[in-house]
Amino acid sequence: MTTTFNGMHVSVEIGQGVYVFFPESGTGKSYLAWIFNILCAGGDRVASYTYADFVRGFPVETVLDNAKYDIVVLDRYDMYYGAGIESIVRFGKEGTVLVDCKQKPPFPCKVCSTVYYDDVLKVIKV
Amino acid sequence: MFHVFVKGIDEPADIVWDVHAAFGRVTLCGDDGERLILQRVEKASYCDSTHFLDRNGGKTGLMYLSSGAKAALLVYHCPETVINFVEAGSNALSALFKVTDTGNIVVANRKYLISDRGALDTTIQYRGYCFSSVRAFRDYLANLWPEPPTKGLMEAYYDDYI
Repeated sequence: MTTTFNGMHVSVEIGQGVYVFFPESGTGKSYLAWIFNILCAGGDRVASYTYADFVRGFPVETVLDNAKYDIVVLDRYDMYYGAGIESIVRFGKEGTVLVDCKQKPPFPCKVCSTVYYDDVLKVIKV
Repeated sequence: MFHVFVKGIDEPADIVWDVHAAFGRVTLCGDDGERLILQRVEKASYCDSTHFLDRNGGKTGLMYLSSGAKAALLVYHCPETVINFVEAGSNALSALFKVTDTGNIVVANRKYLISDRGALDTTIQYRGYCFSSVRAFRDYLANLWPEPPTKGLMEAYYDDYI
C-alpha cells in the first residue's frame, strides 16, 4: 500500500499477517494510525484503533473486518492488552494488522518497524 | 533513586496508567531535561510551553508527542508518582536516566536494551534487587535478564550490586 498524505509518502511494504512494531518510542506509529483514521473516513481500505476508542466502548473487533479493510493499525494496544486476540489472528490471515504493543504479544506475530524521516513514513519488515 | 516496578509482578496499587490523559496537566518550561527528552525520543526540539518543533521543524502541539516522550516527561516532572512506562520504548527509558536520578515507573515484563551513556548517577531498585548504577542495570538487562543477578552469574559486576 502506497499513498501520499499532505505531502507525506506513506507506504506499508509488508504483506498480510500480524505484526508488532519494534518497541521504540517516537517512530511514527501513532502518526500512521492518525493518517489511517483520516484515509478510512475517505473510503480507503485502511483503519486504526486506539485506547480512546476502547474507552468509548467501541470493540476492537469493529475494525478487524476483512470485508472492509486491508490494513489496520492497533495503536496503544498495551492499554487494552488481550482484547480481540481471535479477531486479530483471523484478520491477519487475509489482511495486515500492525500492533503497537511493548509487552510480549498475546498472539503469534512478526516484527515490523517504521522508517520515518523528512516526507517519508513507511512500514517495513524487520 | 529509581524504583522500577514490573507490570504483573510487583506493580503497586496507585499508578498513573494513562500517560496521555495525565500529560494534559503538565506544562513545559523548556529546561535542559525537557529538551533532552524531546531530542532523544522524538528527534524534536522545544518550542514553547504548548508546542514542540518536530523532526521536520514543524510547530506541533504537545498532544502529538509519543507515549514514551509523555511518560518520560511525566516522570521528570512528577518523580514521586508511579508512572506507567509500559508504553515507552527502550530509547525513552535511556533518555529518562539521562535527565533525572529519581523516579517511580512500571515497565513491561521483558528485556530492555538501554544505554547508560550520559546517565546520571543513581541507584535502581528492580524486582527486589538494587543496582548501584544505570550501567549495572543495563548490563543485567542485556546479559542476564530474566535470571536473578546472583554473584555466581555476575562475578565481574558483583561490586555493582548492593
